[in-house]
Amino acid sequence: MSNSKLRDEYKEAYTSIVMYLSSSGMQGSFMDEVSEDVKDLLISAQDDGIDVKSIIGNSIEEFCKEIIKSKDINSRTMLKISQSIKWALIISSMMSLIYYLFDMKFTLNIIFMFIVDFLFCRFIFSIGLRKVIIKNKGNVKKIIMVLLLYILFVIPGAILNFILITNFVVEINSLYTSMVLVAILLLSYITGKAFRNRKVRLD
Amino acid sequence: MNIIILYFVLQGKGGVTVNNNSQILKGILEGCILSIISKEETYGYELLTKLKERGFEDIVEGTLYPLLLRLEKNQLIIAEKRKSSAGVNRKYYKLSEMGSIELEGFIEYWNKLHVNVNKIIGGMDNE
Repeated sequence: MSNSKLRDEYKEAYTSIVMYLSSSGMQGSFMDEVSEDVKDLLISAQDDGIDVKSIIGNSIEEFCKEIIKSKDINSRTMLKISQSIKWALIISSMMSLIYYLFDMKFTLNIIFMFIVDFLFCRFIFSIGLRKVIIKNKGNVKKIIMVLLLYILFVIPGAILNFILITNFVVEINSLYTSMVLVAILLLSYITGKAFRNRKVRLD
Repeated sequence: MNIIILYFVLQGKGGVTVNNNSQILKGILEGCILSIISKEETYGYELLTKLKERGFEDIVEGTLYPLLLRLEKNQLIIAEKRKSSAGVNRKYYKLSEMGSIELEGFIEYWNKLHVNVNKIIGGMDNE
């Protein structure tokens, strides 16, 4: 995906669009397709001396959102969130079972921390990254700087995790916890299936 | 999706209000895109230029490109990749058989719609 033929604001717009879309959970093949189309469009506009804004519009973010909407990526994001929650629950359930089998002390905050951190790393970070890309209009150096600041931002989070996990300990039965988590998983599977069936009928 | 405008009206579920005319515009644009493509094979940028030349001055690729993706996904247009003069892969669009049927439906509905709307607007002026 070289953008060597694009210059100045055309190159900037292209980089911003590609970076925004790549952080939106778009599939690789579709991403390549869109990148090629946008590149062709911007090269044509550049050759004709047409202003980027009259092609893309006033907001690159809006442009990207329209593309995302057209591929129904938002609902895929919801699916990803729900899948991530499921994975977090499965792993938590296995973890509590292991605690039970080895007769170890099990606390509620272990699970809570695990699920929250898992989702935080997976989603909050990528949403923030997208905002940074748009704010810095594809300026890679500035984005790297912000990413480094992001890493610094994670440190207080880690300290908070440590404080919670060491000080606010609520002991729970690991076997029951495992069973409750499996029950939640089953419930979410059944409701998810019912929702999908309803959606198919509506479509 | 037999009639594009009606499709968008129904898609809104709550109906289209005066303030929410972007959906109507998208529906009309889809019909216009099909019509332009039916006349000759074209590509995204050229299509945008043609639409701007024909009075859609405010249209941007942010509106057009997702519509092209939708039309392609719904198999109303067929995209064929070829190298452009700049050496970039370019998608050239042509109308599919389904697209032709869709366009016929759009023209028929549009002819009926604009006559009816004019009758109402004209009628209101006379009142």
